Amino acid sequence: MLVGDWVEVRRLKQISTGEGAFMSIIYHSSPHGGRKTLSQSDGDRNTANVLGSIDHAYDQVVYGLLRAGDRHDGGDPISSPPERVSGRSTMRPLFAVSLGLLAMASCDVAMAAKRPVKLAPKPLPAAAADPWNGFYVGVNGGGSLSQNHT
Amino acid sequence: MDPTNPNTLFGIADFKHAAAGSIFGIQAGWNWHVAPAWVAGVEADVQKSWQSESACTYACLPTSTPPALLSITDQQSLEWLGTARLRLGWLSPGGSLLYATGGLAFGRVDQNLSMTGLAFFAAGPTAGASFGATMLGWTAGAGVETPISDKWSVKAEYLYVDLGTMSDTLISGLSPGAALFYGFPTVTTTSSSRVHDNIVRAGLNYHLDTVGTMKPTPPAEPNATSTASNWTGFYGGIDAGGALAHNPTFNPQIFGPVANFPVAGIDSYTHAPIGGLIGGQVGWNWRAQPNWVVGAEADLQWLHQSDAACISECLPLLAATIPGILLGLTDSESLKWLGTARLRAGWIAPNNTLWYATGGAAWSRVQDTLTVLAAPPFFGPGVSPTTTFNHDKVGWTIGGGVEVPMWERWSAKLEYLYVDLGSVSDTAVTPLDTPPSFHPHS
Repeated sequence: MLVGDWVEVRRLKQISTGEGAFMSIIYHSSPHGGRKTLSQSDGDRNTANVLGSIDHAYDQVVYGLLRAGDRHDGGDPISSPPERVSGRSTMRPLFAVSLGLLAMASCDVAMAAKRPVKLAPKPLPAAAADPWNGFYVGVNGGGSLSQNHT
Repeated sequence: MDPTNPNTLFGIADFKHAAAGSIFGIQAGWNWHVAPAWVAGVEADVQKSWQSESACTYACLPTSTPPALLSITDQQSLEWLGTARLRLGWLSPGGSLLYATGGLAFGRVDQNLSMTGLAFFAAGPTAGASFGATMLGWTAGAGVETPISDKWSVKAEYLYVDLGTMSDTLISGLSPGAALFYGFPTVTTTSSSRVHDNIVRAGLNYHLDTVGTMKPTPPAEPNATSTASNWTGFYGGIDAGGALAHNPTFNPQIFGPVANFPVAGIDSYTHAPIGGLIGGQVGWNWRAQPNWVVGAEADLQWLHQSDAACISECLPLLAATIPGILLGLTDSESLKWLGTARLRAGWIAPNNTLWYATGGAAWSRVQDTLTVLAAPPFFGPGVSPTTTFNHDKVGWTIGGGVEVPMWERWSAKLEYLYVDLGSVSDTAVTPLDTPPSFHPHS
């Protein structure tokens, strides 16, 4: 017997767990306030809609205050929009602007929906070529890894 | 040499060729929009491949004088690859095609066998030959294709390829001394290899001609709950897939005391653990720009990925008195789980499909089991021939993928990750109990 004889197996290897192809199904939580998915044009239209309503509300507030002020001053009723108000009503329009800003700050989409600005309907997109019909050519590049039992 | 007679076998090596490399090629195909949400078609492609690998192992020259090893180098490469496939795909609401594909595959596989043994071959210290074959098999896979303009689309695809079995036989003449000693004039070396391939690639397609036009569809109304296509906010999900590793392994056999074992063995081969995975991920997206998304993602997967190599080593004992005997070494490697924490940055295609790159940290458990076997009483009594090592490794990962909004809150993605966990080193020391006649001084 060989006392103290031994066999030593050493191994050194590089580990790369791999190259994996993963397929995942993902659930998305609701973003803050339910942010909408809008295309650029949808976004523009929606923004115009809100701002249009805000302007409309502002006009209504200013116009209403001016009318009330004129009635208080006993002047002639105002039949035109606020931008046509003469200089004697300067203080009231300033106050009205403040109210208008408050109104704007508290204005939300729901208010906008009440008084939407009418926009032209969005046109349908023009007929586009169908990429899923017909011939195609292309290039590709990538990696390959084999496992050949030898 | 009579292969059926174990006394004339020099050694058997059982391992995986895990050749890795890049490919680049071209494809052509035809699509048929068979139904509003379904597309069928055919596609053919051909690629140049730079996929190659060498394995070096040793066989025993059982009764050679002096004791010696016969080294065998087996180099295998895929020169080119082509496929001809059918495709069947489903169009997501955004217009990305999620498809399965399958058909024929063919490719050229080259193999070089070379052996080195002192005073063994008639032609000199080295004998060898080159072989090549054009092989025919099958392929199956899946992918995602997204239009990015009227005429252009991009795709990401995975293909599994099976080209069948390649067998080569090398007959080498022995030197006069070896022929006289062994009693036969030639030695026959047979290599049998099953050729598989896993391909991950991206492609760019130009649509030459279109038949008909797409039916214009009304623009989608803003949907407050359609969060999957916002690419903003938190998400969670599950994933499943496969993993294949390419782990070069270097196995020196050191016998002690060295005076008793003048020749050791060194094996160089590649472990290729393969298996499935299933897990889950959570993440967060931020739409930094209208067409760009950044985010972070963490995932954890259970892995069932393993591979074993069995190498027979030569124990070249004392010259002229002790014949060499074979030592079997089984080297098993498995990966138990895998986690990553990564950043993502992606581009949103016109149809709201997200194409992204990702990278970050990765960690995994690697388990190695070494088993040495030899005819008794080579090892001491009661000695376990098996030693197991566990390593929790931290490394890095990089990859890319494509994620397609499916329904209001749901999306599906196809992803590739390359993971590097560094290296592991194990040492197993096994006491010997050799017959007295093996001892030089007994």
